[in-house]
Amino acid sequence: MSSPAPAPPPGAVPPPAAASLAPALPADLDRSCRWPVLVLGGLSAGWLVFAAVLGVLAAIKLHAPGMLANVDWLTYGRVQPAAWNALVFGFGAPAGLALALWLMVRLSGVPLVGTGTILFGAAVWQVGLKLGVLGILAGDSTGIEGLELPRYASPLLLAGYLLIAPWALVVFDRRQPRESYLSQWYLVTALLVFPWCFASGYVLTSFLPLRGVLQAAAQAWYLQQLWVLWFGSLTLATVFYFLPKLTGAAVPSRSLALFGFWTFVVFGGLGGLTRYAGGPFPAWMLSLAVVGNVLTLFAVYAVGANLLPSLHAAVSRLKGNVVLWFLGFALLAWLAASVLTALNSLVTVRHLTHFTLVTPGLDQLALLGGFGLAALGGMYGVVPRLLGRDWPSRFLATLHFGCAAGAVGLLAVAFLIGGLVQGAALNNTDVAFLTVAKRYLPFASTGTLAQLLWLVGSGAFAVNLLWLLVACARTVCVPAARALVEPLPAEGKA
Amino acid sequence: MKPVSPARSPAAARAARAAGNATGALGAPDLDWAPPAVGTGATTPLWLVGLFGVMLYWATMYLDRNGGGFNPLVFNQGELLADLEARVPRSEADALLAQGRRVYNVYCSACHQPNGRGTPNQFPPVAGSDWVLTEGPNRIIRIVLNGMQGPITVNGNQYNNVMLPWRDQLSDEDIAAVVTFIRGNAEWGNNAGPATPAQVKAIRDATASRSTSWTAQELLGIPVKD
Amino acid sequence: MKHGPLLFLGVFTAVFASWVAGVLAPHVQIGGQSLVQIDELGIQYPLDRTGEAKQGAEIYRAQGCHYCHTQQVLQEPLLSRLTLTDAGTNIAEVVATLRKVRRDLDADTAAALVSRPPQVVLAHAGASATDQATRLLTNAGAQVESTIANLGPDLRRGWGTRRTVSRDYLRDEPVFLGQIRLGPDLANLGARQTNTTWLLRKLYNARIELPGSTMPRYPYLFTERRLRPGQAPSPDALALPPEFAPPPGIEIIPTREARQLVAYLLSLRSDALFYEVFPPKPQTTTTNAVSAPVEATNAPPTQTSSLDLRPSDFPLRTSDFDLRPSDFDLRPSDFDLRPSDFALRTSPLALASP
Repeated sequence: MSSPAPAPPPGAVPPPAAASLAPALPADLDRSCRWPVLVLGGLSAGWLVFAAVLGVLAAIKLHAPGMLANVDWLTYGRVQPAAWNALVFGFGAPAGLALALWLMVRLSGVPLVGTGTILFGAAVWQVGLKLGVLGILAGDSTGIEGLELPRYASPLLLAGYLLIAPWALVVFDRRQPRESYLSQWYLVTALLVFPWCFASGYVLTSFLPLRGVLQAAAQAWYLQQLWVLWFGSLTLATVFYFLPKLTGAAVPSRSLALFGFWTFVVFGGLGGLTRYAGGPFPAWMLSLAVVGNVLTLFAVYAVGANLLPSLHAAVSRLKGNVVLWFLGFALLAWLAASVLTALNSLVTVRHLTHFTLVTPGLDQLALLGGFGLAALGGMYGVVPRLLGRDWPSRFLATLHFGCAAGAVGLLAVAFLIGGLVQGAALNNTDVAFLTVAKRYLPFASTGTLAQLLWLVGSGAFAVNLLWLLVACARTVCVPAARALVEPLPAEGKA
Repeated sequence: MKPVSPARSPAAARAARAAGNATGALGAPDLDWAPPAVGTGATTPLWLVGLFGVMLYWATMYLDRNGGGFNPLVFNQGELLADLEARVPRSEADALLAQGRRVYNVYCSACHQPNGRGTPNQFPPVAGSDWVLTEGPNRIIRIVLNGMQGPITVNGNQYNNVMLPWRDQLSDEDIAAVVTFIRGNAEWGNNAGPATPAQVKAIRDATASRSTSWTAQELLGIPVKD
Repeated sequence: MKHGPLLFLGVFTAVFASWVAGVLAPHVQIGGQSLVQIDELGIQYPLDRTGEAKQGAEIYRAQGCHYCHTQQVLQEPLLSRLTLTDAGTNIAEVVATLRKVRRDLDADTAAALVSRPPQVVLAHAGASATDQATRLLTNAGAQVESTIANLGPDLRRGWGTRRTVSRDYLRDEPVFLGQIRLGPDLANLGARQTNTTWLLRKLYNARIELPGSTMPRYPYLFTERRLRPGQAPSPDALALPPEFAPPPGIEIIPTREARQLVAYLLSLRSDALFYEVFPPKPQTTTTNAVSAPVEATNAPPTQTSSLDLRPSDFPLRTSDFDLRPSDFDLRPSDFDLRPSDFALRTSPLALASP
């Protein structure tokens, strides 16, 4: 693998036959979206590492409160949201957009348009996010969990998004086979949901704030859309494309897929308030959230029934297929996170898990395990096709998968068990509160280990990507440089 | 749905293969652009649709039982407004008294006077009045609803005047409030039980056909208490 | 799906429906909630915060305190237990009534229950069911007693006297509900902790007041000041136990931010009682006079004693209120006016103003 076949430099691929109505070739499609996907993907890889560093820092501070306490920029209450925003908006959203663009172009069989606008949008997004994360570290956070970006940053992100995402919908509209594929349904959902929930969340909490707890209701709705309908949809879109392609098995039932999709869209967005079960909200709001989360299980079942058999049948193909590892793990993590979320919304369970590590544990399982691994797996599949060159190091990719899967598994298990222990102690008033706080410490330390693993994996990915980019640049630049240094023979021949 | 396989020119196919060969992507085969195949034969299993229907029914039941009647004041799942009502300290009378005082000041105090003592020989008192401080408010609600005319003996004194009917001006709640106020006004030394809007509504409905004012004689035939 | 617009429309409708249910409908329903008028005290609850406390909320936000502390008190659904303490004289009537209240009882069991009081006749019943059963049984001549079964761990930990509801947060901007309790709930902190020095020490180093605490230090909310030889220590200086005290000649002075944060923490209260949050009143009836609800006493709406709180439930020890002599020590420098004291004043005559 480290000695790839001599690849034609990117520029050598024949130009796309954009004018003709004949279906384009994969190479033409890839060429059309090469720069946007690479730029968004590369930036997201950088943020992935940065977020992992902040995540490690936050995780350490959870069980070692004295560390770096003298620096106000690095207090837990700032590092934690900074890490969250770096992960969600630095890695998650751009990686998701990159995959959405690539998948949409691939599945629609139409080259991407609006490349320049997309690159400009990515720049605007980056500026906004850097301002925002710096603002959070400086103490300008809005104080609403998940919506911390200061007022001067959040509009930039929305503007950046609106410069990027519509082009995917334009491509979808021009698709060659009129019959659309499952992944496209989920992509359309994700692309539509994000600006809506982002705008609703930020406008209703920091620009025209609602009164009192309604802010928290708007926040819970936003988080639910972001987690389920945005990250969930992107996960499913990626998984539904790559798994059948890699295993060679068809998705068994279109009818079940339709059923799953519509139950997902209709009920997926309702369950936000389980975050605040028992909180200061009228009972009907909390009950509606429980109902929404439980009914989403039908979508989970439909996805599982459509994909798990093919994954099971493809066990023999798993050997050496890193992309399949990532996507298979992502599917399992997403299924587990969805089932546990539904379970966690039941009143009796919630009574135990409330205000404990279970909440971040499930969030991380869905974000890192579900979406994160799906997006990374997608990157492993997509980037070589864009560059016409395979990954330089199989070892680093294997290391990445091992670390990432290990981190997600460790984090989920530690936080779920730790949450239950913490919840049982919280509910038992014979246990003094300090003892409660002490009981979660071992699990928080395990969380730090998991975050470290995740950091190592992310570092491996970033190094691998950088290596690949440098290698590609060399194949392009070295001949060009030679041509500059030794122009005479060429001219002489002419 | 059928996977669409695009017609390719040999040259283009060669180019694609050249690109594809280089992109093993860690073991992944090259992916053509056609969407993955989707089987159309299998339908959604019937049991799943059936279970979905059952769960939708469960959802409505759950909301009915734990939704607090969609009332914004019910915060505990499983409770209804009635449970809240049952917990409120018994001071609704305070609210009724306050409302009753307002109603009394607007509609009654001109004749019965702000101190409730009436005007000698013209308007009978409500403070300490034997007509007001009966065991139940049945008669006095009727008087407020339809008015009163003719001779009446209050605390041994004779009065002969006309009281206007308030059926159309005052709501059930207003009448309950003002009756509660005059019966229970401790400042006047009154200490009789309250009237409820429900009582007023019952009497209003029962006497809906009556268009004339009451006379003392008629009223004495009506039990003070149900 | 061949029709892109239909897909788009379907998704749009579904998301819009969830937005209506999750954001718009709640806003229409409780967005216009009014403050609670408490006539007895002549106030509107929740109270508006002082300017200093409002500034403190900004510090709370900037430090991200809400990532470890919640501000919401939860409560179990209020379930009561009804005990029959005396069946009175009309046994047959009481048995019949009991079978009306408890339809699951057969005649023999009901008779057995009535014959040997005290007996629990209702357990885990809602407030309205308990109320109705009380009325029916007392009308039949029996005496009953109702107790509240369980109010939940939050109240037992002394984090509040009742659950919090939406009206408690009308003045909060933003609302710091919080999702995780790595530290105790703060919704009602101002009611259980009134000691400024204690809170300041807690912020400086939580281990001073509670050895082993997992709360971070906030040393940057304090300044270190080096005393010149012979200079009197500042009255604002934080009194610290020897093991946490700075070296001699240096004193720790809370910054304005620390004081504002403490003012905010002291302003956190959610213990006023109003319609939605009245806890149930345990009742012991001795007569069958419960005919009309209003004829019961006009009890003042402060029934905190009804909550099953033991003093030990409150995490405060008496030592929390131990003020050390140094807390009251006024030193000559207390009366030192610094130039900044004059910053906003136009006339030296105004110096005497607070």
